Amino acid sequence: MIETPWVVGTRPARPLAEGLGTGLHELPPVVLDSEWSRAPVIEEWQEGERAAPAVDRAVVAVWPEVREPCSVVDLDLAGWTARLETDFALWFAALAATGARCAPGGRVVAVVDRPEGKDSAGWALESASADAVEVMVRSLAQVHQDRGVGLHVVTTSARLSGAPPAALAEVVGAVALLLSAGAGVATAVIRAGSGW
Amino acid sequence: MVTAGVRPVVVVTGASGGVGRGIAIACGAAGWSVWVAARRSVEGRRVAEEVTAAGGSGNFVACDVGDGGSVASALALVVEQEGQLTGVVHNATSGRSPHPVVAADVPMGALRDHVVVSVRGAYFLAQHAHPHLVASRGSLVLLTSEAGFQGTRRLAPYAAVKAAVRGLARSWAREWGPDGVRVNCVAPLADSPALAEAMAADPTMAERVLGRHPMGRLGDPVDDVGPVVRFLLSDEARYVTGATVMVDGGNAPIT
Repeated sequence: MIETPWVVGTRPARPLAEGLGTGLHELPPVVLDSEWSRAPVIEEWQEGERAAPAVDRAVVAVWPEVREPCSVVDLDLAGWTARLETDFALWFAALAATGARCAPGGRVVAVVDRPEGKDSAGWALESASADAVEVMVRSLAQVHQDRGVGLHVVTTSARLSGAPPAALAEVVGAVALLLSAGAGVATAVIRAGSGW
Repeated sequence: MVTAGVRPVVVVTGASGGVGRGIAIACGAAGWSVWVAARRSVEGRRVAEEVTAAGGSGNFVACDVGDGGSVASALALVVEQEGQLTGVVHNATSGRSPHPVVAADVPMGALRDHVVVSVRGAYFLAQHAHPHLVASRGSLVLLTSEAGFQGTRRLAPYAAVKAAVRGLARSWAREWGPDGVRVNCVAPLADSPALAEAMAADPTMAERVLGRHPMGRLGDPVDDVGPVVRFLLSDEARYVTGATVMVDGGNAPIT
């Protein structure tokens, strides 16, 4: 039986938090421009996390509102920064802060949208975010492994493919599995909720 | 596609030194026209001369990959001068890449710098090169790293942006395949000024990188890495797209 996790993310991740039996601690609702002029808002949030008490189990889910697939050829810079760079910055900040905040022996699970490989045309930005998140987690797992902290990833195409609500239950199940993983599991990646 | 008898015309970003220089010279050695795209004009022009000395046609074009206008102007100049563009290689990375950091302490300004050069740079290049690559049925190659698979304890922003470009390449390969444009990644482990700087900043890195390396050495940018990128840009790789080719002497346990 796992303890109720601390779930941090963007507003669309609220159903995930509810599925895990808890509430969502919202990241600042920032949309970055090309200069990242609102990045200090993210840094203020990070500063607050440094002073916050440790957590034993945590979930990070930077979920944007579901978008339509798009071609990079047609995407202007404002769309690019809003769609990719904002998510990238929030993911990096949230994972780094939550990893640092996690108590020795704790677990952190990132839950990220990942388009299915064969359906990834038009989803280049989401593919990039998913690959980046997986590697952010691998980097942080190396940082925190000495403290016995496990950092894991659940990827899902459920939201991007418009899967039925039952797919979310599979994602929740995968998160719960990784939150209860043994201390010897430093980092793992599970694909869930993608079979619909 | 790039066919025999038609001299390829390629642009290599970040080619004023290191791996980019190696790619440029390797392409030059095959007689290609190579445009060294970089911010540092003195070093870039010197590499262009090396390309010419190797048997190709070397030119320098000023290019800041984080500036869409600069990328557009650079590619427009190449097409104006050459009449075509058959390949683009995005090798440029942030000058911060070799600097070790604690992930939780990375300022947003530093993170932005990594993103702008590696990821936004790939976006600008893809966007502005796309019509020309469609016309030539050409190829885009993005440089990644084994760090972009495995992560790295002290270079987390670098690893993350190198992972992101793999994701871009995989999707663009699917989007652009019907137009005859191929998109691939190369993950080199090479003897470069950036790697030397990273090793100097982290004394444990050399042992981590080379201690269990199957071949016991770093790759040479000109002789080991450049030819692989040249292959991916060439017609010989006409059925290769969406791939990441490891050019690391077997160092990363990824197959």
